[in-house]
Amino acid sequence: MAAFRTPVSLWKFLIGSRGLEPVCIRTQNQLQPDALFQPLPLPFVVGLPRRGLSSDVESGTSKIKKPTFTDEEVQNILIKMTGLNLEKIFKPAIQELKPPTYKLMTQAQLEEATRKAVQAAKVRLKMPPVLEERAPINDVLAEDTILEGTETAKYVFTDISRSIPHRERFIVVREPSGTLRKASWEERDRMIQIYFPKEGRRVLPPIIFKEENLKTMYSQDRHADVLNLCIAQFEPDSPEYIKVHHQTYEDIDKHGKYDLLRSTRHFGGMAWYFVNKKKIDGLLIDQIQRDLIDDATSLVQLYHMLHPDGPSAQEAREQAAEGIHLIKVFAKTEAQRGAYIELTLQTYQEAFISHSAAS
Amino acid sequence: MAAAVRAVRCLPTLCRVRAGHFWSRQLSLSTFPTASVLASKTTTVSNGALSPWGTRDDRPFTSLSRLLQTQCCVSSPSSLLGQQRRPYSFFTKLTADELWKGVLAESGAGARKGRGKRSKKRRRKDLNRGQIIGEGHSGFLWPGLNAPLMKNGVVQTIAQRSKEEQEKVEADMMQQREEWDRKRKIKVKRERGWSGNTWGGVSLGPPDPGPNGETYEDFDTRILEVRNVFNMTAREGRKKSVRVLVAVGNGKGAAGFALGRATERIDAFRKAKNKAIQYLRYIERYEDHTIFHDISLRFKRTHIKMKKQPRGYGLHCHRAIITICRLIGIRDMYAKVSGSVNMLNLTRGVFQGLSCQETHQQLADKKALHVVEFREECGPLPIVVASPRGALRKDPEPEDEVSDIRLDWEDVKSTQGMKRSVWAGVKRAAT
Repeated sequence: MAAFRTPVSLWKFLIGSRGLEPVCIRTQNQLQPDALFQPLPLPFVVGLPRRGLSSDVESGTSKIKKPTFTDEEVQNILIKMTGLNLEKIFKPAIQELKPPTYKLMTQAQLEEATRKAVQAAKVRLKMPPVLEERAPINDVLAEDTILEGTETAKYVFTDISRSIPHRERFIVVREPSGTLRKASWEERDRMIQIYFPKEGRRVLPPIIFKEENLKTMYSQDRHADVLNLCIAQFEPDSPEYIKVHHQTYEDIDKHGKYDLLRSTRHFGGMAWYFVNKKKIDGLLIDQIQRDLIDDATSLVQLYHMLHPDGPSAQEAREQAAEGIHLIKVFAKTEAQRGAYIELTLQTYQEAFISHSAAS
Repeated sequence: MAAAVRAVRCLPTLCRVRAGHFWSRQLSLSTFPTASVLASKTTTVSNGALSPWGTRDDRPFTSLSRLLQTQCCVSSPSSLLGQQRRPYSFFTKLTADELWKGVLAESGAGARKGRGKRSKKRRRKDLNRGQIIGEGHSGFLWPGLNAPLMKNGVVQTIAQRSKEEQEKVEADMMQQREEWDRKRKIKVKRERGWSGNTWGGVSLGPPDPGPNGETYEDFDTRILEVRNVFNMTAREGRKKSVRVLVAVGNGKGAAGFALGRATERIDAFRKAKNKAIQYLRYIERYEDHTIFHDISLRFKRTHIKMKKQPRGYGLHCHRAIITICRLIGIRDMYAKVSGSVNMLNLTRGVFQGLSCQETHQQLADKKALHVVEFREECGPLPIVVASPRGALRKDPEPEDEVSDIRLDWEDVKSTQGMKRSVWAGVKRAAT
C-alpha cells in the first residue's frame, strides 16, 4: 500500500536523524509539537491504514482513546447529518453556458442516472481534513557570523526536485546576519506555491480574508464560498485556515444559518467543531425545527462519544435512552438553552401527532 | 373680409393713388400711418359703424402723421416695401381655400406620375390664427368684441388704446406668430429602424382597437418591409402602390404577421397593422426565453436553421428574425438564413418553423418515456422536464453507436474548425 509506505520511511528518517523513541509512533494520530517533519496524513487519504497501525501498537488503550475526526463511526454520523440534497450539490456553476442535452429514458435508466449522480455527489462531499494547528519551525542549521554584512537581503534556497512530497522539501533561509535557518511555514507555503503553483491558490493570501471583507461575505450568506476559498488557499493545519474556519462557524452559530452548509463538504467540520466546543444547542434546535430528528439524535450520540464523562452521557447510559428521549436527557442536563430545546421538541411532537392523525 | 385684411398686411401690394395724398413706394414713415389709417378705415367700413371714406380723411391723418414709430415687419417678405394695408385687393375677392389652392398647385401635371420634387412641397398656413374680431392697427377697444361689454353693470363705450399699448399688443402678436412658425419648422426626428433611412424595424405602436371594443395595448407592431410596387393601368400608366409587411406580438408568445397595400404609405401601415392582429398564433417557448429544440427547415427557396441557446446568449440572427423573436418573447437563439432572403418567405418560414415545434411534454407523450435534461453547469444531475401523461414504457429507446441523423455540412465545418470567417467572435451590442 503506497500510502502506508511513506509514513514508515518518514519514521525511519526521523529515528535515524534524531534518535527519537517510538513515542512518536504511539502519538502519531495526535501531532507532537516538537517533531519537525511530522508524519502528516496526505490530505484525502482516509485514516484507515493508520488506524490499523495504531491499533496494532496500542492494544489496551483504545477504550480511553478519544474519537478523532477520521474515525469511521464519526465519519458515518457526519456524512448522515450532512444530507444529500442533489439540487444544492449540483447547483449551476458560474461558467460559460452551453445549451442542454436531452435524453429519453425509461424509469430504470433514470434511476441509474440518479445513482451515478449520487456517487458523484458523494465524491464532492468528501470532507476536508480537520487538523491541529502546526507548530512553528525555529530550527537554525548554522551560524556563520563571518558572512555578516556581505548581503543586504535574505536568500531562500528551495529544493525543486519534482519527486519529493512538499512536506519533506528542504527550504532554508540565509539571513543577512549569516544564520542559516529552516524556512518558517509561511515562507515554505509561499515558495512551494511559486515553484509548484497549485490551481486556485495565490502566492500572497487574497484580501478577501481580511476581517471587513469576511464580514461582508457573511452578511451576504456566502459562508460556503469563504470556506472553499480558504481550503484552496491555505494548508489544513495552518493557523489562518483554522482561524477562518472557526470564525465562519461562529458566525453561522450566531445567526443560526446552519442550513447554508448542509449538503456541502463543510458540514462535517462544522458539526465536529461545535461538538468539541460543546455548543450544539443551536444546531440541535435547527435540526428539530426542520424535522431531522434522526440527525439530532445522532448529533447527541456524537456528543456523548466525545464527552463520555459529562453528566448527559452518564444520564443517557443509566436510562439507556433512545431517540427523542436522548435529546430530552441532553436538554435537561448539559444544554445551555435546554428549555428552548424542550419547547421545540414539544412543538415537533404535537405537529407530528396532528399530522399523523390527519393522514 | 377679415382674411382680406390680413392679406393686405402681409403681402406686397400695389399702392393705389388716392386723390389729395402723396403715395410713394419707397419706405417712408408717412406710409405707415396712412396704411394704418386705411386699415382702420377698412375695419370701420366692415363694421359699418362709422361714415364712409372722404369725410374722415383729415383728422386721423393729421394726428397720426406725428407718429414716428415703425411697424416691425420682420417675417413678412414685404419689409422693403413697408407694411401695406389695403382694404380691397385681389386677395379680398377670393376665399382662403381658393387662394391656397392656387398657391400650392397640388393638382398639376407636375404632381402626377411622381414627377413632383420632394423638396418643393409647400405647406398651407392658416393666416387667421390668433385673429380677434375687433383688433385693428389703430387699437380701438370695441365693447363686446375685444373689450368686456359690461363693467360694474355699466355698458362700456368705445375707447382707444394708447400708442404704447397698441405697440406692445402688436409686438406680442408678431412674437406669437414667429413662435408658431418656428414650431412648424422643427423637423421631428423619425425613429431609426435597422438603419438610418429604412422603414424596417420601425415600431408603429399598438394596433387600433377592434369594433367590439377590444384593445390591443400590450401588442407592439414592427415594420419588416416597405416596398413600392407598380401596376400598369390603362388610363394613367404606371400606378404606384405601397406594400408593407408588418409583424405584431406581445412578447408573451402571441404573434402574427400580415401584408398591407395602399396608395399612401401611412394608409398601408394602418391596413397591415390591423390585418396582422387578426392572424395571431401562439408560439410555445421553453422557459420563456428560447425554443425547445433545433429547427432546420426550407420554406420555398429560403433555408432557415434555428438553434437553441442558453440564457444570456442573445439573439444572434438575421435582423428580421431578431425583430420577430423580440415580438414573440424569445430572448436567446441562433439562426442562420441561407438561400433566398425574400422577406415574406423568410417571415412565413420562421413562423411555420416555430409553430411546428414539439414541446417536451408532447415528445414525452409520443415516446412514452421521460424527457431528461443534462446541463453542463449542473454536472451529472438528471433533471426530468417532462413525464408521459399516459403509460410509461419499459423498453428503452434504441440507440445506435453511430447516430443516423443527417449531418449538416456547415455544422461539421464549424465543429472541425474548417470555417474561416472574419465575423466569428465579433462583439455586438446585447440584444
